[in-house]
Amino acid sequence: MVDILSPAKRGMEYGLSLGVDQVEVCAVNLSQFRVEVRNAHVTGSDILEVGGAGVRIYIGHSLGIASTTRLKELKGAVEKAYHLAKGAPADPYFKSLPGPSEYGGVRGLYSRKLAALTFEELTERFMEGIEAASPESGFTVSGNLVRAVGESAVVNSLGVEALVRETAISGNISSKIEKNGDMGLGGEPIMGRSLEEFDPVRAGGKAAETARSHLGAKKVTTGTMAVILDFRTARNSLGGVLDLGANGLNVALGTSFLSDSIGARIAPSDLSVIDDPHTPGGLSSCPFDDEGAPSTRVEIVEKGILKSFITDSYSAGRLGIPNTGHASRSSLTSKPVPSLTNIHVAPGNWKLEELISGTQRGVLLENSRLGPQGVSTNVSSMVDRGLYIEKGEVVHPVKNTMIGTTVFDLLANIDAITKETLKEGGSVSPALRISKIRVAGGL
Amino acid sequence: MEDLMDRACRVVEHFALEKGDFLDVRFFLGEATTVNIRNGDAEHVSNESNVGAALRALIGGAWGFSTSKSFEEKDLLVAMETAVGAARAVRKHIGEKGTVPDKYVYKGTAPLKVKIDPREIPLEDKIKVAVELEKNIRKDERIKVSQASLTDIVQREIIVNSLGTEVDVSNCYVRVGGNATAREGTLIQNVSDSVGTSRGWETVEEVDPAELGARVGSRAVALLSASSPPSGRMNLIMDPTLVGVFIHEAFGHAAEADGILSNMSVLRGKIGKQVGVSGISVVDDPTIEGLRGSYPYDSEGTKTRRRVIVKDGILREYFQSLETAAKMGVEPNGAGRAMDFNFKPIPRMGNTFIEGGNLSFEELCQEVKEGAYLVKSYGGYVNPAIGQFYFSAQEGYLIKDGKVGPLTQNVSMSGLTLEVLSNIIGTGKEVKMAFPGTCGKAGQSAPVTGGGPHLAVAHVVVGGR
Repeated sequence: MVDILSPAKRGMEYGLSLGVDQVEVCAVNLSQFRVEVRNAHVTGSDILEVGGAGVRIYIGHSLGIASTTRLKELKGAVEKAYHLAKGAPADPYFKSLPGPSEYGGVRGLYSRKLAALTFEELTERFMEGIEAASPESGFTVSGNLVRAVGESAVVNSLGVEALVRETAISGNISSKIEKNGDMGLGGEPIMGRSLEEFDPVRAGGKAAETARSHLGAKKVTTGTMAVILDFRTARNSLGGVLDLGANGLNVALGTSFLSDSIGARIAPSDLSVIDDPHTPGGLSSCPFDDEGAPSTRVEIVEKGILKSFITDSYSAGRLGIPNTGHASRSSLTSKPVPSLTNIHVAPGNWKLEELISGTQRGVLLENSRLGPQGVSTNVSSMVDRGLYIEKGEVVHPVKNTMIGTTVFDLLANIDAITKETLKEGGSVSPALRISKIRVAGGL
Repeated sequence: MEDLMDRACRVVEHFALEKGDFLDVRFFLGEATTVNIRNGDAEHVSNESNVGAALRALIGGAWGFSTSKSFEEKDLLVAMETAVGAARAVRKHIGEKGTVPDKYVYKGTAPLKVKIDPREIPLEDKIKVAVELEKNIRKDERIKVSQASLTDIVQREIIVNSLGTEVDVSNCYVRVGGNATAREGTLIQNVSDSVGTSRGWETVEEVDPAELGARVGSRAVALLSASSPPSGRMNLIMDPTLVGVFIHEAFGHAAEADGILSNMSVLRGKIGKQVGVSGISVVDDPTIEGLRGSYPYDSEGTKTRRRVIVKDGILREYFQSLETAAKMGVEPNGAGRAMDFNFKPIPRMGNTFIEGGNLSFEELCQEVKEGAYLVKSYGGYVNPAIGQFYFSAQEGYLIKDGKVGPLTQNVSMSGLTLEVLSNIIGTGKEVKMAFPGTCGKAGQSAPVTGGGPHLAVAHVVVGGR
């Protein structure tokens, strides 16, 4: 285990010694195994350490950020952040970095068994999944796998001192089948924090099954029809839409389409969504956020009514509401912004097969995402994987098909939610149906 | 920093290699400064130091990779041992042996080619430009978020391999741009524009920040009264920014040789075959001075050259790294690019464009008759394995009876790689390298440019409502 907390604290203290108002240092060290497979054979095997440190320094309301890939050069990064903060214009909305807190525990973030897996063992197991993705001739299989073991730390001059040790495994297996001049493509993710969740044989088998089911893709005729979002598509789409609309920073800036909607109906009464950063073993679970504020469970939508926004220290300060501990930084040089962690969408009363059988004309989206481009309220998405439904039955996969709607209609037109849910990576989601949506086809 | 080259040579020479084995060491020294002004306040002023060494080993046909943040020789040797160990660990799973061509050895130095080094520019000057740009976006009260961003990146790669390649190459990327989000009631529209080059601070000096800001702001406001975007299969004219993204996504990615070799591209086996209308040619040229996707040597040390991907509708060439070139028995063409030291080089594009044709804009409108004229790209993505791509326009205009009509909001489109170049119905005259973008592939980003003339394409699926 690499000690990242001590250098982070030394960096923070050095920053303070320069006479600044607030200092934050975050540090990350991850040991990674990566395996790359093409044409069912290993084409890349990587063993490396990634990470570094990021520094935020505030002088009054002026912020300087610097990062380095070398922890040994943290002092230099602190000096750079200091000089940038001295020259940067002020942000009058900045209130303060978070103060110290007690953190609760979150189970399942570190797996001793996963951490103990050797590179050879990891590769052997992954290759079993690759084999499963090619059950007969005619399949082409690719895949990527990353196992990470390491630590993340945040310290700041107000007394925050947070350290988490984590394991994670992520990747995917893609399987392509070619038959009589036709082709079908399937892909299945691998994600989790424990050895038990690492099941490449299941993923490979599912990828091959999906590939087979996508042979015979056809173009469809443009029209307004129902669209069913499978479990992953529902999770990805609702997560994406709410991450924009319920995001405290967007609300503060006036670009959230839900900014005036707290207490208002934004979806039918059977839609309820919470965000839970304490989900055991969740890929986005952590007792604290990327600023070291305690992460909290937030009820975002309850029975179709918008209940809460997610915030970080900056947006909470601007809006004058509590910090929900949802700060997330995309890199060590980034300023954190609020972001959802593990969404849990409440189940409904339908079966997935009932959604299909009750659809006269529609498209079932698989493992996809419907969402707006940037902060625009328009949704215009390509169907990456979809099955065309006619008279209650799946008739063929689709190709060259687009979906156009708005974020408002996407939420408002949900007319059925399944009782089955998919628990994956810490999130929980049923499948759902949107009653009418514009589908543009290539015919 | 001359000794880094010697040090890398000593690391490579330290290992006894069998025939066909290969090692390389790539030192990466990157520094980036970003100034981001939002709504008159400093959202973000940052500096990023990205320094480390990437080490690859091809042993017995298996590849291994590791990194070292330290440039000490003993640490580099440990990292190379790790890479060799990783290669040995997977030898039984490699199938066809990995290989590199042994007859292409490159030696050269390409120092930073800038008039004004952005690292020499005081922070206050950078802030001044961003503040001026941002202020001019925010001239209408319906602009809720105005954002100006200025980034300069200087990167140096020192590449040594066991075949004798010794290259020291520096690149500079400067980008200045604005982003506006306008709102009226519940309607929110967002537009952006930027200038990006591989030149120095002179890039910024040639931009009028007030004009760029005002243009971005007024476009966002105009979209608040634009009509809903169209939906269905229709004929389109794309402006040069969209053509750049279109050809990058629709065709460029599918022509990357790693996808071809792994049978994950619909262009596999199509060299020498007709893939588009006879008048269409697609070129990628990283040697054009100053464009955002320009670079003299790639991350494997291969000298870059112009690549003619499609000539008169015939597929001619793929994007090659050392390994893909060896496997296909062709010359490497300098497409092996890596984002930084944490990643291995993979085949990538540089500056991709469609060559000019012979029609005026008015003649293109006449060709289309009924459809849409789409303007300014948001970006896109592609699935090369099934040849389906997506790209997105910030705004557009309806075309009625061969004439450009009213403004419409942002919309996205999709198409099929093997159909699109055959559906081109008209090519404009003037080529503009109009889209300075960032391409993402396998978790790595790379600066690129896309462009071309105005282009008329039939039967594109447009996803409006």
